[in-house]
Amino acid sequence: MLDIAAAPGSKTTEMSAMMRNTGIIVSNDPSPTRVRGLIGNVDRAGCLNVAVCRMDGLALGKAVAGKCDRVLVDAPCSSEGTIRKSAQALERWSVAAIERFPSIQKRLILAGYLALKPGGVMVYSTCTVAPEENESVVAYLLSRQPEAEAAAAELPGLVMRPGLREWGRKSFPEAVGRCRRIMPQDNDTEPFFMALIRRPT
Amino acid sequence: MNRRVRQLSERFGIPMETFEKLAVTEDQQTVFVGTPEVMHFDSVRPMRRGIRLARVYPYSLKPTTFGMQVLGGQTTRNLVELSDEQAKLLINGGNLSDDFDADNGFVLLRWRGFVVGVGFYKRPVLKSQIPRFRPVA
Repeated sequence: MLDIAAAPGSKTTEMSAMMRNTGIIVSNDPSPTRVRGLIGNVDRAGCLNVAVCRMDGLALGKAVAGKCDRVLVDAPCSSEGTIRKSAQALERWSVAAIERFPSIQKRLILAGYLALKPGGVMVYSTCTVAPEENESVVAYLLSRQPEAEAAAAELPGLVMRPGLREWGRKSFPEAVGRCRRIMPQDNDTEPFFMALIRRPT
Repeated sequence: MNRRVRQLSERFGIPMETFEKLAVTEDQQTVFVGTPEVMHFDSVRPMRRGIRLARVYPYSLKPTTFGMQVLGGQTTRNLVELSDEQAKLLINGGNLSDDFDADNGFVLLRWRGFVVGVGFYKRPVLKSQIPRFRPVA
């Protein structure tokens, strides 16, 4: 299993617990400061099945190409979702950020997909609502890897909306509608976006 | 079996079977433990494999709090059972003074059935080695 943008590690440690400390999670973050926090949390949570890397996501994806059963790309994003809990997040928000993140998100989703074994499954997620960082990124992957399959994710107990099919002057392929949006007004939570991508066997 | 594992097993009575399905490595006076798959994973060069199990000192081995929280559950020796009050005091960085049934050196601290961390006992003073991240009210 590959967690390609893992710091500070809450999802890595949760997955490690779900896997009952078996198998392998390769948990990566390219930032030297953030990876220290990641290691600290892996230690604190007693994750015996985690290897921590500090690599560029694309290079790591190539290094483990075709070897992963599962990949999580919880991509760095403009974090609009955190505005609900932090006024500082609103101060940091800008249109420029929404324009800046998609290039790295596209690199990561492609790297994550290439890391999958045939039959493997990837989750692409962000805590932002901007379609430029969500549906547009998934559409990019589907254009680069036409065999990739977008599946509908189900999370029982949560109200979810389908991915947008158009935004501004852009329209997205039908498969993008299988992505899921979790909106604050539906669940009294922060917003979240996720796409479930399968690599065919 | 790895000699560091044997040292831990001898000091604390941790059954060797606890480490049977795990792999242990040592690097720069630090002992690491993880699943064999992780410890032998070589598709990339990770910064870290598994978790820190212990620190190697010239005359002893200091187990880590989190290593013992995961693997110290069946310890039988050099183990100090803590009351609620004692646990609170140690977690907040205080010392205990008592005649515990333990040898001088590193001991494991158990509270309500769970190993919560490591202490250093030099009769009669027991000092906590639990990281002091957050004081307990």
